Amino acid sequence: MERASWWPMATGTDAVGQDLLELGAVFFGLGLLGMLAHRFGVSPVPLYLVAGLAFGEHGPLPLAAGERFIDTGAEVGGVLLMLSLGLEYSATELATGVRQQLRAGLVDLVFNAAPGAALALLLGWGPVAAVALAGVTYVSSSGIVAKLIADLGHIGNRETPVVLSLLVFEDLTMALYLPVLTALLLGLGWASAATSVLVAIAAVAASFFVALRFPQAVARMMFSPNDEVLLLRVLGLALLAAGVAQQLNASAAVAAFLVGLSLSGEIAEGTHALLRPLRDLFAAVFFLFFGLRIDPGTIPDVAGLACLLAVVTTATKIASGWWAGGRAGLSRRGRLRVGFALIPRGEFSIVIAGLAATTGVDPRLGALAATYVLILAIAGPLAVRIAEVQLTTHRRAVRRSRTRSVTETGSAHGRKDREA
Amino acid sequence: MHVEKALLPGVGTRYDFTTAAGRQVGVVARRDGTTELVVYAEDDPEYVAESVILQSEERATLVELLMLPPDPTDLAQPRT
Repeated sequence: MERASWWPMATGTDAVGQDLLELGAVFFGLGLLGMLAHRFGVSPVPLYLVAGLAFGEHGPLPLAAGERFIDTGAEVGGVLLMLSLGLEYSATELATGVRQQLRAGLVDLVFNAAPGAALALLLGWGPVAAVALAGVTYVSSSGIVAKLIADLGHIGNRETPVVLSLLVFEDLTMALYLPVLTALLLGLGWASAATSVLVAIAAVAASFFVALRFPQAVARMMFSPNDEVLLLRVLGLALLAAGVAQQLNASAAVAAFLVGLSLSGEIAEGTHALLRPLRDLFAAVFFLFFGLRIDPGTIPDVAGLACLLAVVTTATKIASGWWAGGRAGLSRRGRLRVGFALIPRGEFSIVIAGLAATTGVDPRLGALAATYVLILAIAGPLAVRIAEVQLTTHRRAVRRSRTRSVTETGSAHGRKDREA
Repeated sequence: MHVEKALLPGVGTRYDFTTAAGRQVGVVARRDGTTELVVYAEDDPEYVAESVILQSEERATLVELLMLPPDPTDLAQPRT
């Protein structure tokens, strides 16, 4: 076999050993990349994508693992990523967020979906690719943005509720958008796309109803004082829902997102802490596996287009953020901060591109989306940090008190006793 | 006193108020059990100039300290 020439060669029954060896090396490498990213305070997402490109079928260091394994890995990674995204928000938060930011959210949608749709149409990729690329350019990365806000100590800032509500709005829009896109990509036509969106609305409404009316019902069904039992049930339920959705030609990602959503609340408190490290792992796996499916040879062809799209959609995000900030009564600086915060694109853009890549849409779409996300996942946080310096009149060292102080537990307990 | 409350989806809730001298201070109650103490910048009341994250025990200590009288004569010995 000419591929994988740099790996120790394996024959026959050693194939499993070789698969393990390769995967082990890849995950260990991802660990090193992640450590580098954290050391320099940047998002690890672009690094994982690049690693995927390098180890892909057409990359310089191809893995021997089969295509089916890679596809399944990417699917599972995506499902688990969406599950933890759903767990992040409670249904109440989603409902209030959408109500408060409805108009700002629609402006965000129109401003940022239009450039992607326009580019796909100009390139003659057809209306379905236009819908896909519109989604890629529209949705900001909840993961990257939320982490950036926390890292910069901006959680208390006045613009943060606006930013977070817009993220919520976008994520919820995805719950309606992804089933439509899935139907269109499968060539089911606009009529079935309409049916899909009705099913999606019904599913969203049902999970909201359950989460708001019977917050204890699902939790009671799922709860177990045993961590591993709880985790197994939650993961199992998400994969089951995703599988059923896939069978019905609906979106597996959305099903997982809705499972997370209906589990949030009481149970999420426990599940969340358990799932947090897993989510980061799944995200790494997901971005890696998406990268594996892209031929890096196609990137130079689309690099120019991706840069252009990145510049245009950076401007449109700043514009829609400016508008949303104005509605919330923020100052000029606060309005700019909303726009800048929302520049990074990430997981949902890749989910969309991943869906498109598995069907008959122009193969350049996947490469374009990967390059686009690479650019904005790096440039977005960088722009925020530069704007941070520009928009802050008084210079201050960002001192963080994150390091846990070693409290003298003895005296603390003594105090508590005296209080009681 | 007017305390403003803002919902932070996925994070928790922020409470803040303005002092008589015009400074804004607040706390962010986070879902992970920590509390963030925030002080807004003097020249930009929308921007957090300083923030300190408190673990639950540290928060309890701060709450207690805030309630202490200026002249703790009634206390037999100072607490550590």
